[in-house]
Amino acid sequence: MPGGVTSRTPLFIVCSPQARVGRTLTARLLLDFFLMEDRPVAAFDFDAEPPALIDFLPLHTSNARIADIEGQMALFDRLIVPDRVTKIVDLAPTSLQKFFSVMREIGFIDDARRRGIEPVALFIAAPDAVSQRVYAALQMSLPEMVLVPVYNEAVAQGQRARKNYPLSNRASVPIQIPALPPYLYRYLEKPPFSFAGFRGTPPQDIPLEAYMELLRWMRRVFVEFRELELRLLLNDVRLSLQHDAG
Amino acid sequence: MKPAVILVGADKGGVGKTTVTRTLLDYFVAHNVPTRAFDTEAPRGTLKRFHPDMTEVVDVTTIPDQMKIFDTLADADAKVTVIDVRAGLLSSTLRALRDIGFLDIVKKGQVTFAVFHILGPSIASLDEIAETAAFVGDAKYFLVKNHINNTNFFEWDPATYDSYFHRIKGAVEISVPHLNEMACEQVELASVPFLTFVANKNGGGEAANYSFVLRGYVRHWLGNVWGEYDRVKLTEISAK
Repeated sequence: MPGGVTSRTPLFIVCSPQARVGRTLTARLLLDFFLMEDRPVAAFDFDAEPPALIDFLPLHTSNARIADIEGQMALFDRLIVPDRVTKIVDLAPTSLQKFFSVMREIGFIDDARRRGIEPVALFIAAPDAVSQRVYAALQMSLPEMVLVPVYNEAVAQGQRARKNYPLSNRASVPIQIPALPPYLYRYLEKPPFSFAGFRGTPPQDIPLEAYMELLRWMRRVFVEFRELELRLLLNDVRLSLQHDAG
Repeated sequence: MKPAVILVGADKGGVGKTTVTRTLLDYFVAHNVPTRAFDTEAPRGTLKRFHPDMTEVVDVTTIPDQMKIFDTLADADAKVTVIDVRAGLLSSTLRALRDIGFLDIVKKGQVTFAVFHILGPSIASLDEIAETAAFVGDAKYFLVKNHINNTNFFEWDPATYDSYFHRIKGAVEISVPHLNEMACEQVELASVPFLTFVANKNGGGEAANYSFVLRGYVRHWLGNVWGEYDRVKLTEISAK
Protein backbone atom coordinates (compact mmCIF):
# COMPACT_ATOMS: atom_id res chain seq x y z
CA MET A 1 0.00 0.00 0.00
CA PRO A 2 1.48 3.42 -0.91
CA GLY A 3 2.79 5.36 2.08
CA GLY A 4 0.48 8.33 1.58
CA VAL A 5 -2.76 6.35 1.66
CA THR A 6 -4.96 6.67 4.71
CA SER A 7 -8.49 5.41 4.64
CA ARG A 8 -11.24 7.95 5.02
CA THR A 9 -13.70 7.66 7.86
CA PRO A 10 -17.08 6.66 6.46
CA LEU A 11 -20.28 8.53 7.06
CA PHE A 12 -23.07 6.07 6.28
CA ILE A 13 -26.45 7.48 5.38
CA VAL A 14 -29.00 4.68 5.43
CA CYS A 15 -31.98 5.85 3.44
CA SER A 16 -35.13 5.06 1.52
CA PRO A 17 -38.18 7.07 0.49
CA GLN A 18 -40.33 4.19 1.77
CA ALA A 19 -41.10 3.01 5.27
CA ARG A 20 -40.87 -0.63 6.37
CA VAL A 21 -38.23 -1.73 3.89
CA GLY A 22 -35.51 -2.52 6.44
CA ARG A 23 -33.80 0.86 6.69
CA THR A 24 -33.58 1.02 10.48
CA LEU A 25 -32.65 -2.67 10.62
CA THR A 26 -29.74 -1.98 8.26
CA ALA A 27 -28.67 1.02 10.37
CA ARG A 28 -28.85 -1.12 13.52
CA LEU A 29 -26.77 -3.88 11.98
CA LEU A 30 -24.19 -1.36 10.85
CA LEU A 31 -24.03 0.23 14.29
CA ASP A 32 -23.73 -3.21 15.91
CA PHE A 33 -20.99 -4.09 13.43
CA PHE A 34 -18.82 -1.21 14.62
CA LEU A 35 -19.72 -1.64 18.28
CA MET A 36 -18.82 -5.33 18.24
CA GLU A 37 -15.40 -4.45 16.89
CA ASP A 38 -14.96 -1.73 19.53
CA ARG A 39 -14.56 0.90 16.85
CA PRO A 40 -15.66 4.48 17.53
CA VAL A 41 -19.11 5.09 16.09
CA ALA A 42 -22.00 7.50 16.55
CA ALA A 43 -25.49 7.29 15.10
CA PHE A 44 -28.17 9.85 14.29
CA ASP A 45 -31.84 9.05 14.17
CA PHE A 46 -34.61 10.95 12.41
CA ASP A 47 -37.47 8.65 13.24
CA ALA A 48 -40.09 9.93 15.63
CA GLU A 49 -42.04 6.67 15.74
CA PRO A 50 -40.81 3.77 17.86
CA PRO A 51 -39.19 1.40 17.53
CA ALA A 52 -36.48 3.64 16.12
CA LEU A 53 -32.71 3.26 16.11
CA ILE A 54 -32.48 5.28 19.31
CA ASP A 55 -34.78 2.80 21.06
CA PHE A 56 -32.43 -0.06 20.28
CA LEU A 57 -29.08 1.63 20.87
CA PRO A 58 -29.79 4.75 22.94
CA LEU A 59 -26.25 5.13 24.28
CA HIS A 60 -24.82 5.52 20.80
CA THR A 61 -27.62 7.38 19.04
CA SER A 62 -28.69 11.04 19.00
CA ASN A 63 -31.92 12.51 17.70
CA ALA A 64 -31.56 14.59 14.57
CA ARG A 65 -33.76 16.94 12.60
CA ILE A 66 -33.35 18.72 9.31
CA ALA A 67 -36.37 20.97 8.85
CA ASP A 68 -34.94 24.03 10.61
CA ILE A 69 -31.55 25.67 10.52
CA GLU A 70 -30.78 24.85 14.15
CA GLY A 71 -31.33 21.15 13.46
CA GLN A 72 -29.21 21.33 10.31
CA MET A 73 -26.37 22.98 12.23
CA ALA A 74 -26.56 20.46 15.08
CA LEU A 75 -26.40 17.59 12.60
CA PHE A 76 -24.04 18.64 9.81
CA ASP A 77 -21.64 20.54 12.05
CA ARG A 78 -21.20 17.26 13.92
CA LEU A 79 -20.99 15.06 10.83
CA ILE A 80 -18.20 17.17 9.36
CA VAL A 81 -15.91 16.90 12.40
CA PRO A 82 -12.81 14.87 11.36
CA ASP A 83 -12.63 12.91 14.62
CA ARG A 84 -12.17 9.43 13.06
CA VAL A 85 -15.54 8.38 14.46
CA THR A 86 -17.67 6.50 11.94
CA LYS A 87 -21.10 8.09 11.76
CA ILE A 88 -24.36 6.45 10.79
CA VAL A 89 -27.47 8.40 9.85
CA ASP A 90 -30.78 6.56 9.85
CA LEU A 91 -32.58 8.90 7.47
CA ALA A 92 -36.36 8.78 7.68
CA PRO A 93 -38.34 9.01 4.41
CA THR A 94 -39.85 12.36 5.43
CA SER A 95 -36.40 13.89 5.85
CA LEU A 96 -34.69 12.34 2.83
CA GLN A 97 -35.27 15.06 0.28
CA LYS A 98 -34.38 17.92 2.61
CA PHE A 99 -31.28 16.13 3.91
CA PHE A 100 -29.73 15.63 0.49
CA SER A 101 -30.83 19.04 -0.69
CA VAL A 102 -29.05 20.72 2.26
CA MET A 103 -26.07 18.46 1.73
CA ARG A 104 -25.81 19.61 -1.87
CA GLU A 105 -26.42 23.27 -1.10
CA ILE A 106 -23.76 23.58 1.58
CA GLY A 107 -21.20 21.64 -0.47
CA PHE A 108 -20.92 18.95 2.18
CA ILE A 109 -19.38 16.15 0.14
CA ASP A 110 -16.35 18.05 -1.14
CA ASP A 111 -15.62 19.49 2.28
CA ALA A 112 -16.11 16.14 3.98
CA ARG A 113 -13.60 14.49 1.64
CA ARG A 114 -11.09 17.25 2.28
CA ARG A 115 -11.40 16.36 5.97
CA GLY A 116 -10.94 12.65 5.44
CA ILE A 117 -14.63 11.72 5.61
CA GLU A 118 -16.34 9.63 2.91
CA PRO A 119 -20.13 10.06 2.70
CA VAL A 120 -21.69 6.77 1.61
CA ALA A 121 -25.44 6.51 1.03
CA LEU A 122 -26.82 3.01 1.65
CA PHE A 123 -30.03 3.09 -0.33
CA ILE A 124 -32.59 0.36 0.31
CA ALA A 125 -33.27 -0.98 -3.17
CA ALA A 126 -36.98 -1.65 -2.80
CA PRO A 127 -38.93 -2.86 -5.83
CA ASP A 128 -41.31 0.13 -6.02
CA ALA A 129 -41.09 2.84 -8.67
CA VAL A 130 -40.76 5.72 -6.19
CA SER A 131 -37.61 4.22 -4.69
CA GLN A 132 -36.14 3.73 -8.17
CA ARG A 133 -36.93 7.32 -9.14
CA VAL A 134 -35.41 8.74 -5.95
CA TYR A 135 -32.31 6.58 -6.45
CA ALA A 136 -31.90 7.86 -10.00
CA ALA A 137 -32.44 11.45 -8.82
CA LEU A 138 -29.74 11.03 -6.17
CA GLN A 139 -27.33 9.71 -8.77
CA MET A 140 -28.02 12.79 -10.87
CA SER A 141 -27.95 15.41 -8.14
CA LEU A 142 -25.02 14.06 -6.12
CA PRO A 143 -22.91 12.17 -8.68
CA GLU A 144 -19.79 12.42 -6.53
CA MET A 145 -21.39 10.56 -3.61
CA VAL A 146 -20.83 6.83 -3.18
CA LEU A 147 -24.35 5.42 -3.58
CA VAL A 148 -24.69 1.79 -2.56
CA PRO A 149 -27.90 -0.15 -3.22
CA VAL A 150 -28.89 -2.41 -0.33
CA TYR A 151 -30.81 -5.48 -1.41
CA ASN A 152 -32.89 -6.55 1.50
CA GLU A 153 -34.10 -9.98 0.50
CA ALA A 154 -36.99 -9.65 2.90
CA VAL A 155 -38.52 -6.99 0.66
CA ALA A 156 -37.03 -7.71 -2.77
CA GLN A 157 -35.38 -10.54 -4.60
CA GLY A 158 -31.99 -9.44 -5.83
CA GLN A 159 -31.90 -10.37 -9.48
CA ARG A 160 -34.92 -8.43 -10.64
CA ALA A 161 -34.12 -5.38 -8.57
CA ARG A 162 -30.51 -5.09 -9.72
CA LYS A 163 -31.23 -3.80 -13.17
CA ASN A 164 -33.33 -1.00 -11.68
CA TYR A 165 -30.47 0.23 -9.53
CA PRO A 166 -27.51 0.86 -11.83
CA LEU A 167 -24.24 1.40 -9.98
CA SER A 168 -22.66 4.84 -9.75
CA ASN A 169 -18.98 4.07 -9.38
CA ARG A 170 -16.45 1.42 -8.39
CA ALA A 171 -17.14 1.69 -4.67
CA SER A 172 -20.87 1.31 -5.19
CA VAL A 173 -21.08 -2.47 -5.27
CA PRO A 174 -24.38 -3.53 -3.68
CA ILE A 175 -24.91 -5.00 -0.25
CA GLN A 176 -27.10 -8.02 0.26
CA ILE A 177 -29.11 -8.47 3.46
CA PRO A 178 -30.22 -12.12 3.48
CA ALA A 179 -33.77 -12.94 4.45
CA LEU A 180 -34.37 -14.41 7.89
CA PRO A 181 -36.98 -17.03 8.69
CA PRO A 182 -40.01 -14.87 9.54
CA TYR A 183 -40.37 -16.12 13.12
CA LEU A 184 -36.96 -14.68 14.00
CA TYR A 185 -37.95 -11.08 13.24
CA ARG A 186 -40.00 -10.91 16.42
CA TYR A 187 -36.81 -11.14 18.46
CA LEU A 188 -35.04 -8.57 16.35
CA GLU A 189 -37.83 -6.03 16.42
CA LYS A 190 -38.17 -5.82 20.17
CA PRO A 191 -36.02 -3.06 21.72
CA PRO A 192 -33.45 -3.02 23.11
CA PHE A 193 -32.29 -6.05 21.10
CA SER A 194 -28.69 -5.55 20.06
CA PHE A 195 -26.10 -8.09 18.99
CA ALA A 196 -23.41 -5.87 20.48
CA GLY A 197 -25.28 -5.85 23.78
CA PHE A 198 -24.97 -9.61 24.24
CA ARG A 199 -21.26 -9.87 23.53
CA GLY A 200 -21.52 -13.57 22.79
CA THR A 201 -23.72 -14.39 25.78
CA PRO A 202 -27.07 -15.75 24.62
CA PRO A 203 -29.98 -13.66 25.94
CA GLN A 204 -32.30 -15.46 28.32
CA ASP A 205 -35.54 -14.57 26.50
CA ILE A 206 -34.47 -16.02 23.14
CA PRO A 207 -34.22 -19.78 22.58
CA LEU A 208 -30.63 -20.82 21.99
CA GLU A 209 -31.38 -22.26 18.57
CA ALA A 210 -33.04 -19.04 17.43
CA TYR A 211 -30.19 -17.01 18.82
CA MET A 212 -27.62 -19.09 16.95
CA GLU A 213 -29.59 -18.68 13.75
CA LEU A 214 -29.64 -14.91 14.30
CA LEU A 215 -25.87 -14.91 14.89
CA ARG A 216 -25.26 -16.84 11.66
CA TRP A 217 -27.41 -14.36 9.79
CA MET A 218 -25.66 -11.42 11.40
CA ARG A 219 -22.25 -12.79 10.43
CA ARG A 220 -23.34 -13.04 6.81
CA VAL A 221 -24.44 -9.41 6.91
CA PHE A 222 -21.21 -8.35 8.58
CA VAL A 223 -19.21 -10.01 5.79
CA GLU A 224 -21.08 -7.70 3.40
CA PHE A 225 -20.14 -4.68 5.53
CA ARG A 226 -16.49 -5.77 5.61
CA GLU A 227 -16.48 -6.09 1.83
CA LEU A 228 -17.97 -2.62 1.55
CA GLU A 229 -15.23 -1.23 3.79
CA LEU A 230 -12.63 -2.98 1.67
CA ARG A 231 -14.09 -1.51 -1.51
CA LEU A 232 -14.05 1.96 0.03
CA LEU A 233 -10.42 1.46 1.00
CA LEU A 234 -9.52 0.24 -2.49
CA ASN A 235 -11.30 3.24 -3.93
CA ASP A 236 -9.16 5.48 -1.68
CA VAL A 237 -6.02 3.70 -2.89
CA ARG A 238 -7.08 4.07 -6.50
CA LEU A 239 -7.83 7.78 -6.10
CA SER A 240 -4.58 8.27 -4.24
CA LEU A 241 -2.61 6.58 -7.03
CA GLN A 242 -4.42 8.68 -9.63
CA HIS A 243 -3.57 11.78 -7.61
CA ASP A 244 0.10 10.77 -7.32
CA ALA A 245 0.27 10.02 -11.05
CA GLY A 246 -1.41 13.30 -11.94
CA MET B 1 -7.07 50.68 -18.02
CA LYS B 2 -9.49 53.48 -17.33
CA PRO B 3 -10.94 53.90 -13.87
CA ALA B 4 -14.41 52.66 -13.06
CA VAL B 5 -16.86 54.02 -10.54
CA ILE B 6 -19.73 51.95 -9.22
CA LEU B 7 -22.45 53.73 -7.30
CA VAL B 8 -24.65 51.54 -5.12
CA GLY B 9 -27.75 53.26 -3.87
CA ALA B 10 -31.46 53.57 -3.34
CA ASP B 11 -33.66 56.34 -2.16
CA LYS B 12 -35.23 54.08 0.40
CA GLY B 13 -33.47 52.65 3.44
CA GLY B 14 -33.32 49.00 4.44
CA VAL B 15 -33.25 47.52 0.95
CA GLY B 16 -29.77 46.00 1.33
CA LYS B 17 -27.44 48.49 -0.33
CA THR B 18 -24.54 47.71 1.93
CA THR B 19 -25.09 43.97 1.56
CA VAL B 20 -24.92 44.28 -2.22
CA THR B 21 -21.85 46.51 -1.94
CA ARG B 22 -20.18 43.85 0.20
CA THR B 23 -20.83 41.20 -2.42
CA LEU B 24 -19.33 43.49 -5.06
CA LEU B 25 -16.17 44.07 -3.01
CA ASP B 26 -15.81 40.33 -2.43
CA TYR B 27 -16.34 39.72 -6.14
CA PHE B 28 -13.59 42.13 -7.19
CA VAL B 29 -11.22 40.84 -4.50
CA ALA B 30 -11.80 37.29 -5.74
CA HIS B 31 -11.11 38.41 -9.31
CA ASN B 32 -7.91 40.25 -8.29
CA VAL B 33 -9.28 43.63 -9.36
CA PRO B 34 -7.71 46.41 -7.25
CA THR B 35 -10.70 48.06 -5.61
CA ARG B 36 -11.42 50.76 -3.05
CA ALA B 37 -14.68 51.67 -1.41
CA PHE B 38 -16.30 54.74 0.06
CA ASP B 39 -18.96 54.46 2.71
CA THR B 40 -21.16 57.53 2.75
CA GLU B 41 -22.85 56.71 6.03
CA ALA B 42 -20.71 59.29 7.83
CA PRO B 43 -19.85 59.19 10.63
CA ARG B 44 -20.92 55.54 11.31
CA GLY B 45 -19.90 53.52 8.31
CA THR B 46 -21.49 50.07 8.18
CA LEU B 47 -19.48 49.06 5.13
CA LYS B 48 -16.23 49.98 6.84
CA ARG B 49 -17.04 47.54 9.64
CA PHE B 50 -16.92 44.68 7.12
CA HIS B 51 -14.17 45.90 4.81
CA PRO B 52 -12.03 48.19 6.97
CA ASP B 53 -8.87 47.88 4.89
CA MET B 54 -10.38 49.09 1.65
CA THR B 55 -13.11 51.44 2.87
CA GLU B 56 -13.09 55.08 3.80
CA VAL B 57 -16.06 56.82 5.38
CA VAL B 58 -16.97 60.06 3.62
CA ASP B 59 -19.72 62.63 3.55
CA VAL B 60 -20.54 62.68 -0.12
CA THR B 61 -22.51 65.93 0.22
CA THR B 62 -19.36 67.92 1.10
CA ILE B 63 -16.94 69.24 -1.46
CA PRO B 64 -13.73 68.06 0.29
CA ASP B 65 -15.01 64.48 0.36
CA GLN B 66 -16.23 64.68 -3.23
CA MET B 67 -12.67 65.75 -4.12
CA LYS B 68 -11.30 62.85 -2.11
CA ILE B 69 -13.25 60.44 -4.27
CA PHE B 70 -13.36 61.92 -7.74
CA ASP B 71 -10.10 63.88 -7.94
CA THR B 72 -8.15 60.71 -7.17
CA LEU B 73 -9.73 58.40 -9.72
CA ALA B 74 -6.85 58.50 -12.17
CA ASP B 75 -4.09 58.29 -9.56
CA ALA B 76 -5.44 55.67 -7.19
CA ASP B 77 -3.94 52.17 -7.26
CA ALA B 78 -7.46 50.83 -7.21
CA LYS B 79 -9.01 50.74 -10.66
CA VAL B 80 -12.51 50.25 -9.37
CA THR B 81 -14.11 52.67 -6.91
CA VAL B 82 -17.29 51.45 -5.24
CA ILE B 83 -19.42 54.01 -3.45
CA ASP B 84 -22.10 52.85 -1.02
CA VAL B 85 -24.52 55.77 -1.09
CA ARG B 86 -26.52 56.46 2.03
CA ALA B 87 -30.28 55.93 1.84
CA GLY B 88 -32.09 58.87 0.35
CA LEU B 89 -29.00 60.33 -1.31
CA LEU B 90 -28.96 58.48 -4.64
CA SER B 91 -30.72 61.16 -6.67
CA SER B 92 -28.89 64.02 -4.99
CA THR B 93 -25.55 62.26 -5.44
CA LEU B 94 -26.24 61.76 -9.13
CA ARG B 95 -27.23 65.41 -9.35
CA ALA B 96 -23.96 66.39 -7.67
CA LEU B 97 -22.01 64.19 -10.11
CA ARG B 98 -23.67 65.99 -12.98
CA ASP B 99 -22.90 69.37 -11.43
CA ILE B 100 -19.21 68.67 -10.92
CA GLY B 101 -18.88 67.49 -14.52
CA PHE B 102 -18.33 63.82 -13.68
CA LEU B 103 -21.10 62.70 -15.99
CA ASP B 104 -19.41 64.64 -18.80
CA ILE B 105 -16.15 62.73 -18.44
CA VAL B 106 -18.19 59.53 -18.41
CA LYS B 107 -19.80 60.65 -21.66
CA LYS B 108 -16.33 61.26 -23.14
CA GLY B 109 -15.38 57.73 -22.19
CA GLN B 110 -12.65 58.68 -19.75
CA VAL B 111 -14.29 56.87 -16.85
CA THR B 112 -16.55 53.83 -16.75
CA PHE B 113 -19.58 54.49 -14.61
CA ALA B 114 -22.11 51.98 -13.30
CA VAL B 115 -25.11 52.45 -11.06
CA PHE B 116 -26.46 49.62 -8.93
CA HIS B 117 -29.93 50.76 -8.05
CA ILE B 118 -31.24 48.57 -5.25
CA LEU B 119 -35.00 48.25 -5.43
CA GLY B 120 -37.36 47.85 -2.53
CA PRO B 121 -40.69 46.08 -2.88
CA SER B 122 -42.82 49.22 -2.84
CA ILE B 123 -44.17 51.34 -5.68
CA ALA B 124 -41.94 54.14 -4.36
CA SER B 125 -38.98 52.20 -5.75
CA LEU B 126 -40.46 52.45 -9.24
CA ASP B 127 -40.70 56.21 -8.86
CA GLU B 128 -37.02 56.20 -7.93
CA ILE B 129 -36.25 54.59 -11.29
CA ALA B 130 -37.99 57.42 -13.08
CA GLU B 131 -36.13 60.00 -11.01
CA THR B 132 -32.77 58.34 -11.52
CA ALA B 133 -33.23 57.83 -15.25
CA ALA B 134 -32.50 61.48 -15.98
CA PHE B 135 -28.90 61.13 -14.78
CA VAL B 136 -27.71 57.78 -15.99
CA GLY B 137 -27.74 58.10 -19.74
CA ASP B 138 -24.10 57.06 -20.20
CA ALA B 139 -23.84 54.79 -17.19
CA LYS B 140 -24.29 51.07 -17.04
CA TYR B 141 -27.51 50.85 -15.11
CA PHE B 142 -28.29 47.79 -13.04
CA LEU B 143 -31.63 47.40 -11.32
CA VAL B 144 -31.08 45.07 -8.41
CA LYS B 145 -33.95 43.12 -6.91
CA ASN B 146 -32.61 42.16 -3.54
CA HIS B 147 -34.35 39.08 -2.12
CA ILE B 148 -31.86 38.57 0.68
CA ASN B 149 -34.55 39.25 3.27
CA ASN B 150 -37.12 37.24 1.31
CA THR B 151 -38.59 40.44 -0.09
CA ASN B 152 -41.22 39.70 -2.66
CA PHE B 153 -41.83 42.06 -5.47
CA PHE B 154 -45.26 40.85 -6.38
CA GLU B 155 -47.02 44.00 -5.36
CA TRP B 156 -45.69 45.45 -8.57
CA ASP B 157 -47.82 45.12 -11.61
CA PRO B 158 -45.43 43.62 -14.19
CA ALA B 159 -46.65 46.00 -16.89
CA THR B 160 -46.04 48.99 -14.64
CA TYR B 161 -42.57 47.71 -13.75
CA ASP B 162 -41.73 47.17 -17.41
CA SER B 163 -42.81 50.67 -18.30
CA TYR B 164 -40.41 52.09 -15.71
CA PHE B 165 -37.67 49.60 -16.52
CA HIS B 166 -37.67 50.51 -20.19
CA ARG B 167 -37.28 54.20 -19.50
CA ILE B 168 -33.60 53.56 -19.06
CA LYS B 169 -31.92 52.40 -22.21
CA GLY B 170 -29.76 49.35 -21.66
CA ALA B 171 -30.90 48.84 -18.08
CA VAL B 172 -30.07 45.34 -16.83
CA GLU B 173 -31.85 43.52 -14.04
CA ILE B 174 -29.91 41.64 -11.37
CA SER B 175 -31.51 39.37 -8.82
CA VAL B 176 -29.86 38.80 -5.45
CA PRO B 177 -31.30 35.60 -3.96
CA HIS B 178 -32.47 34.95 -0.44
CA LEU B 179 -29.91 34.06 2.22
CA ASN B 180 -30.89 32.06 5.27
CA GLU B 181 -31.62 34.50 8.11
CA MET B 182 -29.31 32.86 10.61
CA ALA B 183 -26.45 32.74 8.13
CA CYS B 184 -27.00 36.41 7.38
CA GLU B 185 -27.10 37.25 11.07
CA GLN B 186 -23.92 35.32 11.86
CA VAL B 187 -21.96 37.14 9.16
CA GLU B 188 -23.26 40.41 10.61
CA LEU B 189 -22.10 39.38 14.07
CA ALA B 190 -18.73 38.27 12.75
CA SER B 191 -18.32 41.64 10.99
CA VAL B 192 -16.16 40.15 8.25
CA PRO B 193 -16.49 39.98 4.47
CA PHE B 194 -18.60 37.09 3.17
CA LEU B 195 -15.48 35.49 1.69
CA THR B 196 -13.71 35.61 5.04
CA PHE B 197 -16.71 34.01 6.72
CA VAL B 198 -16.76 31.22 4.14
CA ALA B 199 -13.04 30.67 4.73
CA ASN B 200 -13.76 30.37 8.49
CA LYS B 201 -11.47 33.27 9.41
CA ASN B 202 -11.99 36.18 11.77
CA GLY B 203 -11.26 39.82 11.01
CA GLY B 204 -7.62 39.33 11.96
CA GLY B 205 -7.18 36.46 9.52
CA GLU B 206 -7.05 33.84 12.26
CA ALA B 207 -9.05 30.59 12.25
CA ALA B 208 -12.61 31.10 13.49
CA ASN B 209 -15.28 28.65 14.53
CA TYR B 210 -18.27 29.50 12.40
CA SER B 211 -20.86 26.83 11.70
CA PHE B 212 -20.00 24.65 8.70
CA VAL B 213 -23.66 24.67 7.69
CA LEU B 214 -23.93 28.46 7.78
CA ARG B 215 -20.68 28.84 5.86
CA GLY B 216 -22.04 26.42 3.30
CA TYR B 217 -25.21 28.45 2.89
CA VAL B 218 -23.22 31.68 2.54
CA ARG B 219 -20.87 30.09 -0.01
CA HIS B 220 -23.79 28.80 -2.05
CA TRP B 221 -25.59 32.16 -1.90
CA LEU B 222 -22.47 34.15 -2.75
CA GLY B 223 -21.87 31.82 -5.70
CA ASN B 224 -25.34 32.59 -6.98
CA VAL B 225 -24.86 36.34 -6.56
CA TRP B 226 -21.57 36.18 -8.40
CA GLY B 227 -23.27 34.13 -11.06
CA GLU B 228 -25.47 37.16 -11.64
CA TYR B 229 -22.40 39.43 -11.83
CA ASP B 230 -20.79 37.06 -14.31
CA ARG B 231 -23.98 37.06 -16.34
CA VAL B 232 -23.91 40.87 -16.66
CA LYS B 233 -20.13 40.71 -17.37
CA LEU B 234 -19.21 42.86 -14.41
CA THR B 235 -15.49 42.24 -14.73
CA GLU B 236 -15.59 43.95 -18.12
CA ILE B 237 -16.22 47.21 -16.29
CA SER B 238 -12.75 47.04 -14.84
CA ALA B 239 -11.13 45.52 -17.93
CA LYS B 240 -11.73 48.39 -20.31
